[in-house]
Amino acid sequence: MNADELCFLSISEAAGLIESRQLSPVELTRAHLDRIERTEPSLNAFITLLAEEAAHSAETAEREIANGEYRGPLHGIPIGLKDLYFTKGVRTTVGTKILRDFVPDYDAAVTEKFADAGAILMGKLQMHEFALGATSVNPHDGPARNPWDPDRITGGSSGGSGAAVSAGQCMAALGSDTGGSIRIPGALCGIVGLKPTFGRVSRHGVYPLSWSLDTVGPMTRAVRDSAIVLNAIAGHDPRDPSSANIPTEDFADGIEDGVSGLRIGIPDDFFYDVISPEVAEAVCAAAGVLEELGADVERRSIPALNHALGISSAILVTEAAETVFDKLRDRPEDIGADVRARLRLGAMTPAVDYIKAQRTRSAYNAQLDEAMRKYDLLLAPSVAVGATGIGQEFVEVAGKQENALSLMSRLTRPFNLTGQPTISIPCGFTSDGMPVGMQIAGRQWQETTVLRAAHAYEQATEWHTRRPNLNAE
Amino acid sequence: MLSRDISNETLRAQARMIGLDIEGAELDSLVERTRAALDDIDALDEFDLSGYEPAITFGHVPGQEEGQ
Repeated sequence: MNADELCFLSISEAAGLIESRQLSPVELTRAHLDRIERTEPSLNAFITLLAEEAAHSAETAEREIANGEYRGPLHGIPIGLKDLYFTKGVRTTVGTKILRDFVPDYDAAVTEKFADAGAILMGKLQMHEFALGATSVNPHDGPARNPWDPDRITGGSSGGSGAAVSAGQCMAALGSDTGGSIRIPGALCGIVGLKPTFGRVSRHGVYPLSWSLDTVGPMTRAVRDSAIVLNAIAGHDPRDPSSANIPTEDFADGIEDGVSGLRIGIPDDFFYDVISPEVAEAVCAAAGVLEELGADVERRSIPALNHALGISSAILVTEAAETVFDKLRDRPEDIGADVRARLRLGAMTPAVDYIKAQRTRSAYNAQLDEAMRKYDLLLAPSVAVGATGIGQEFVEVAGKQENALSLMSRLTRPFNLTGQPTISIPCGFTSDGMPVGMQIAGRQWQETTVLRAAHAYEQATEWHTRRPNLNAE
Repeated sequence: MLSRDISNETLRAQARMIGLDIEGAELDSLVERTRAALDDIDALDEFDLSGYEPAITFGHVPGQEEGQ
C-alpha cells in the first residue's frame, strides 16, 4: 500500500491495522503530512498546521501500542479541528483577524476527548469567519478550496474540515453546525457530515455563534467512521449548560442492520421549491435505493418547513450579534464585509421579534415532532446545487438566477431548529463533476437509526469510493 | 394600525442606541436587509402560537430526553 492509499483508508480499516501492529501511527501520520505538503497549496484547508506536534504524538501512540496500551479505534488516527475548538497553547483564530493571536489556556471538551482517545491532531482547520457564513471564503486567510475543483467553494462554515477530509489530509475532522455548517461542506466536498442531537456533544471550549443552535459533530469519509468519532466525543458535560444528561451508547451498534421496515418520509414541499433538477433527481434516485433495500418510503407535506428560514434567520443572526457584539462595536473594520453585514442585521432585530421567532420555533417543532411520530427518518437534499465558484454571487437554478449564498444553507437550517440528528452523505455528482449530498434526519437521540440508514445506502452505492483528482498529487 | 418604520433614520438611531455607527452604503444595504428579515418575521403570524412558549434551549429542553 502506498502513502496516498494509506491516507484514503477508512478509520475502521486503519484502526484494525494499527491494533494488529501492521500499520504504524508514525507511518500513517507521515503519509498524511506528506500529502498535506503536496495538496495544501491547492486547498488552503489549514489555518495552523501542527506538523511537529503531530509527529511527536504519533511516536507516543506507537510506543503506547507497542507496550500493549491500545486505547481504541482513534489511537494513532490523524484528525483535524475546525479553528474554533480551543486548544491549550495553540492559537484558535475562529477565522477572524481579531482573534489572530488568541491562544486558549485550556482545551475544549472534544479536544480533551480526542487526546484521551490517542488521536493525532494534525492542525486547526479553515472556516468562515466566526462560523457565520456558508462559503468558507475567508477575507483574512483566503478561501478554503474544494478538492473536486479548487476554483470552487468548499461550503461552510466548516470548509477546511470538508476539504481536508475529502482530500485525504486527515481521516476525520470536527465541524460545528448552526445552520448547516457540517452538512453543507460535507455535501459539497463529497464526504459524510453528522450533526448529532442538540446537547449530545459538549460545547465547552467551543467558540459560540448561536447559543440555541450550535452543535458539534464529525466529518469523515465513511458513515461508520462518523459513528466511531461520535463514540469518542459524545457524553454529558456539566461545564456545558446545554449538554444533555442522558446515557451514551455505541453508535456503531446495529449499523449493519439495514433499513428493512424503517419508515422514511420525504417532505415534498420547501426542499424542492428552489433546487437544481440534477440534485433533485439524485435524491429521488437515492429514495428509490432505500426503498429497494426494504424501507417504507412515503412523500408528505410538512407546511411549517416553509417558515424555517424566517425563524432560523431571526434567531441565528441575533444570537450571533450578541455573541461577538464587543468586536462588532469596537473593531467593525476588522470583520469581513459579509459577516459584518450579517452581524449588524442581527443587532437590528427587535427583542419582540427575536422572542416571536423562538416562540414560533416551538410551534414549528411541534409540526416536525408530529411528522417524526409517523416516520423513523426524513430524507431531503443537503444543498440545492453543487459547489459554486469562489466569489460567484448568483447561480442559475431551473432557469432563474438565485443568490448563491442564500441557497447554500437553505435546506439544512430546518433541522437546526428542531435539534434532531441529521447526517449528510454523498448521493451523486452533478454533470460537471461536483458532489451531491442528501440529508437523513432522525428522531431526537436516535443517531443509531440515522447512521444505520446512511450506512445501508452507502454500502449499496459507490459514491463514497470516488476520490478527487488533485493536480498537486 | 401603525406599520413598521424601517428607514435610514430609524436604523441609524437604533444602531446608535446600542453603540454602533453605521452610515452610507452599508446603512442603505442594512435597511434593505432588515426590511426583508422583518417581512419574514411578520409572515410567521400564520402560526397559531396559543400554548407555545419560546424554544430557548440554552439549558437543556425538559422532556427531550424521552425522545419524540
